[in-house]
Amino acid sequence: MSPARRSGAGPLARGFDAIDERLEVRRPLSRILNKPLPEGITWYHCFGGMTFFTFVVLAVTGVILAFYYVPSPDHARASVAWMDSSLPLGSVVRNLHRWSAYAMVVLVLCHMVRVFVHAAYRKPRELNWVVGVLMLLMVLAFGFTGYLLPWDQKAYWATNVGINMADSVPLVGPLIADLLRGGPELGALTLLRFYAAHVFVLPAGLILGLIFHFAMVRRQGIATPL
Amino acid sequence: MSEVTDEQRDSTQVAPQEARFTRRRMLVWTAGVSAATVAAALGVIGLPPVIAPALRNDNAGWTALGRIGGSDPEVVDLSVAGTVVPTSFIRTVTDAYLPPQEQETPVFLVCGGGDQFTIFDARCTHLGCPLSWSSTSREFLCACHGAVYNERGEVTDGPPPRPLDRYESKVEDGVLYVGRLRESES
Repeated sequence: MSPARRSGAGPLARGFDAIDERLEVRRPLSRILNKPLPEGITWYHCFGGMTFFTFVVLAVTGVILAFYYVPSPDHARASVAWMDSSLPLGSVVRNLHRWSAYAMVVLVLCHMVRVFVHAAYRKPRELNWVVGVLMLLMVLAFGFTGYLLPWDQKAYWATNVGINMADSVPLVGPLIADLLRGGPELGALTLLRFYAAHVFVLPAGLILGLIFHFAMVRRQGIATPL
Repeated sequence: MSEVTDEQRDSTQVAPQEARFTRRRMLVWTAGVSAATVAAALGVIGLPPVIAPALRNDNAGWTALGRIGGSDPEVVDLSVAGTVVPTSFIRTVTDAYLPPQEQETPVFLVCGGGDQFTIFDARCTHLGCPLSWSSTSREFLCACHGAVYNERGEVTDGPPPRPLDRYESKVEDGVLYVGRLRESES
């Protein structure tokens, strides 16, 4: 911040100085980036961050897939097949999305086990546990809705099985199943509402959850292990 | 040790910048380089599929347009110089993942005698309206903005910025083929 230090600095540092001079970002940024951690932090504490990393990969690859995927029974299968066969690196992006999704479910469960074993959910962090469990459900919903989108035999019948499971719930089961299907039959409306949930509703919910999750960790600090 | 106070937080950022290459700086650089590498990897993998279709060169190949020098009196004799035939050719086009479809493209065939042919695109170079051939005045006319082209495709009246576009053509075994569209120079 002193002019003496600014002289002789590289272009990157000078660019940052120019921004800092106008918006005063250095102190808040330094507060965020230089936050000290408590003792006893282990590699097991990385599962949450690794889960977030898979989410970033999923968001980026998901946006690229959205350039080509068509959520219609006429074209869904063909558009996915075309991506795999005719688009440069198309199958790579699609498989990155798939494997990151698998990894996300595994990692988020590891994260949950870590928090449980360390008993990090105890007061005052109960709310963050609740938000975390809600996000776990959203991750599973991501997996369930995304599985239908390729619209092949496996996707169709796996979704059929999943919806029939919901159907077997006492009293409200049939209603839930109809809501998931968008009617009595698994078809065009099912594909479209799974797509809308997968690319609009769930991302919005998960990002909101992440904001609360991270803000609460920052506010309360990382729980020291037992 | 439990929560970190604001005082403790503030104390961490007084780390003197004069220090040469501290453990902290090394960790910051490691984190930064790792993040940049991941971002670059995602970019390298993610950009080609987004950009590639825009750079694809559509090569439709050659399509037969008609036979030259037939003896059938019902059919126009294409070997006569100066004959202008408004016609069209059909070729199968593939639009990404959609099933292949037949697409009809209207053209003007101008015969130059023998194996010499000019195939004009039947759309006005102004704004793409379909043109009509006037056999009385021997001109191509556009109904939209009054453009007029002569039979060599040159603009004689109206707003078009350049002469008519032409298709590549070739004659093989007495059959005239139409190829790719070549945009004319303005």
